[in-house]
Amino acid sequence: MANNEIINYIKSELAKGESKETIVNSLSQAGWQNNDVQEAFNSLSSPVSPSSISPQHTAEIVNEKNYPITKLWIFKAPIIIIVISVVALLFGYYFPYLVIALPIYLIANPLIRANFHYSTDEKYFTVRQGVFSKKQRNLPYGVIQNVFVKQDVFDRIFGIASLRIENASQAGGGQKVRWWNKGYGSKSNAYGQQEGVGSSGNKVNIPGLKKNSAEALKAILLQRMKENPIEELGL
Amino acid sequence: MRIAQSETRDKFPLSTKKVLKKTVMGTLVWAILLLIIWGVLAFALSSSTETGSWFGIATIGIFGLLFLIILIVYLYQRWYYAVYFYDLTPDYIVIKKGPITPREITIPYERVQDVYVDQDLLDRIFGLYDVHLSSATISSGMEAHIDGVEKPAADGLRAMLLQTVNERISKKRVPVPPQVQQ
Repeated sequence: MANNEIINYIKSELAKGESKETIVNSLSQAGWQNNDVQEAFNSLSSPVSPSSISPQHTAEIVNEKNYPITKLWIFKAPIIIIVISVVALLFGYYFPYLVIALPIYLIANPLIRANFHYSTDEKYFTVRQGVFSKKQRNLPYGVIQNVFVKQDVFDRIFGIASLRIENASQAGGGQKVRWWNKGYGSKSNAYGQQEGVGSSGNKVNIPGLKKNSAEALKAILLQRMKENPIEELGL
Repeated sequence: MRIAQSETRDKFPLSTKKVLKKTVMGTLVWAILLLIIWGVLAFALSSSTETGSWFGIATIGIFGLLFLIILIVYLYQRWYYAVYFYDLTPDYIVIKKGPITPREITIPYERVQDVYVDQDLLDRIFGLYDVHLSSATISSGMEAHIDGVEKPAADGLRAMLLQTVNERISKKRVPVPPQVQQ
C-alpha cells in the first residue's frame, strides 16, 4: 500500500541527490516492507492516480455536509440570554439590551450557519463563509500548529463541542471584526456574545459540532497534517 | 473516582501532592481574609463581656465557612486531577484538562517550538514542577502544559519530548511504517 509519507520522503531524498539503493536501504532498516517501497517508487515514476492511494492511509475529503454545525448551535446564544434574563429578573434586575439581542441572534445565526462551508481538500483546508461579504481561506495542512477541541458548560449539557485550528500567522485571513462574530475566540461570553464562526486572525473556529463529529474531523485533520509536512528546501 | 489513564501518565504520573498544592493556592487568600476578620472581631469584642456568646457564634461561623471553602476547593481539585489527561502518542501530544469545561489541545511534534519547565513558590515547597510546551501560537503556550509532576517525571517528560521533536524535525528522518494499533 503506497503511503504519502514514504513518497514524500523518497522525493526529498532524490532531490538531495541520494541514490535509489541508499533510500531503499534506509527504508528497509526503518521497517518498511519491500513491496511497499517498490510500489512507492513505481508511483513516483508514473503519474499518481487517486486509485493507487489506499483509502486506509489517506484521509477522505469531507466537508460541512458530513460534519455539520448542529442546528442546536443556532439557539445556544438565545437560550443563554433567556436563562440569564430569567435569573436576573428573579433578582429584580432587568437587562433590556439582552432582550434586544435575542431576535438579532435568532436571525443572524441561521444565516451564518447556512453560509459557512469548510472542506478538507487534498492540499488545503478550505473555509468559505460570509453572509453579506464572502470570504474564502485556504490553510495548507503543513502550517497548522494546534488543534483544539473544547466544550463550555452549555456544550457539555447538550453534547456539542468546538473545534479550533490555529496556524502561526498574526492576523491572517484578512482580519476584520463584525458585530455578529465579534467573539473573543475562547469563551462564550456570559452576556450572550458567541464565539466567532470560521476564520478570524490565526485560527479557524468551528463551533457547535456534535462531540463525535468534532473528534472525527480532528482525526481527519491530524491525518492530513501528517501526510503533508512542510517541504524543506533541501539544505 | 476513575483517573484518566494513558501510557504517558503511567510512565510520568502527576503527583498527588498537586491536589494539595492547588487547594492551598486556592484557599490561601480566603483563609488569610477570614482570619483577619476573626482577629479584628476578637479584638473588638474582647473588651465587653456581654457579647461573649455572640462572639462564639461568629467564630463558629467564620471557621465553618473557611472549612467549607477548603472542602469545596479540595474536592474540585481532586476531580480536576482525575480528569487530567495527557498522552505522548507517536505523532502528536494530546493534553486534555478541565472537569466542567474540558479543553483539549493536540500539537504535532514538528510544531513544538520549545519545552519549558518551571516551579513557582508553592511548587518548590511541595517539590513539584510544571512542564510547558508551545507551538507558534500564543494560546498554545497558555494551554499546553502538564503541571504538578515530580522531578523524575518532569525530567523524563522533557527528555522524551526533546528527543522526539529532534527526531521529527531532523532532515535525516526516515519515516516509520504505521504501527498496528493494539
